[in-house]
Amino acid sequence: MIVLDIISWVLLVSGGLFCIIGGIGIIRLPDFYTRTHGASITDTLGAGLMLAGLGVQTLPHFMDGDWLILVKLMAIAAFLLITSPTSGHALVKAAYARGVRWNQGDVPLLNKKKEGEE
Amino acid sequence: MFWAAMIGVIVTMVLAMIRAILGPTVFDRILALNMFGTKTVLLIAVVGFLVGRPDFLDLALIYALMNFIGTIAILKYARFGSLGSDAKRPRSQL
Amino acid sequence: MPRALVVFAVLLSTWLLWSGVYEPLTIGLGVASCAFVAWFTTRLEPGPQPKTDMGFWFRLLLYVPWLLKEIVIANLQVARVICSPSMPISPQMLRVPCGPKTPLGQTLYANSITLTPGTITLDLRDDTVLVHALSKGSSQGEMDRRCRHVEGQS
Repeated sequence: MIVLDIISWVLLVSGGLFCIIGGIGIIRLPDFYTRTHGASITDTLGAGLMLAGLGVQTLPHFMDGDWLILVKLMAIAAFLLITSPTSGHALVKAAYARGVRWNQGDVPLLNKKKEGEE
Repeated sequence: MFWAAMIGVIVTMVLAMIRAILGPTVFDRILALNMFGTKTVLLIAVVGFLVGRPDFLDLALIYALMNFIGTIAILKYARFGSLGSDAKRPRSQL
Repeated sequence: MPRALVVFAVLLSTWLLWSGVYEPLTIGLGVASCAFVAWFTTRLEPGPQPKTDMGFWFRLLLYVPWLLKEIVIANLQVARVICSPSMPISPQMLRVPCGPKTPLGQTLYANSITLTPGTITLDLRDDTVLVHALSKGSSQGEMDRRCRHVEGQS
């Protein structure tokens, strides 16, 4: 089962690498809205690759009850994939409603009234 | 081999913590907090495999649920200044 | 009342799958807590009940692998941007027309945009989406077309 170990190794390490890249992004990027893209990397590919790497670990003893662990890992992955865009959208929408500034580019406001209200 | 993944997760958590301390706006801090929570879920899962107790995954799942609800609650508080149903809600932002 | 029964059945099967311990005490606790939660949901307003058919779920199942592929590609692009020393970003707010018309299709479209790194949805009204993009050029036209297909148009 050395092949499975190597696959799992590669997935885990690349997942950790993508997490760190997202972490660097959240430090380096210039304003709030761009930083959300950095966080998005760690939430999708970083977490996904790492959970996949852990899932490969369950395969050697799949029939001896490890299938339940795989189901739990997949549940965690599905849950992260559903909640991550929801909280991300709630975050930027709240920041936009509060009038957090963006750096560059002209902005087509959907409704200027909202800016005035806040 | 789980050490490599753990180091990656912990470095990311440190970076998120730096952003939470630096963050000029409250939303930067909430973003960093949300990311920190996601990394905690991964860390619990990896530690569970490292010590050979995969039942830690239940804790990871619960942590993911609580992290999501906590983020939404903090956002609601940051936006409306109250958690109750009597929070003053701007009509256009449902 | 049938809705509460469905909730109870789903919760109980999840409990039995998760616990892996089949003794009278744990099963009894599971039945009690699932019944409590099912009773609790009857006190909540029912949310919107979008109409779906089997075809929708089948098309959604075909859509997910394509979305995952797009997510991986966008991840690599954004990772390259972040890692390059000069960081060639051109952040901008865009108004994108939203092809899907039903609430379910619009939710799917907006969530797909947000899930793809490099683009995030801020607002959706009057059939346009307000999107913040990290740099120019993305596959939104293709995503729009596929979401409309999943929704059932054309």
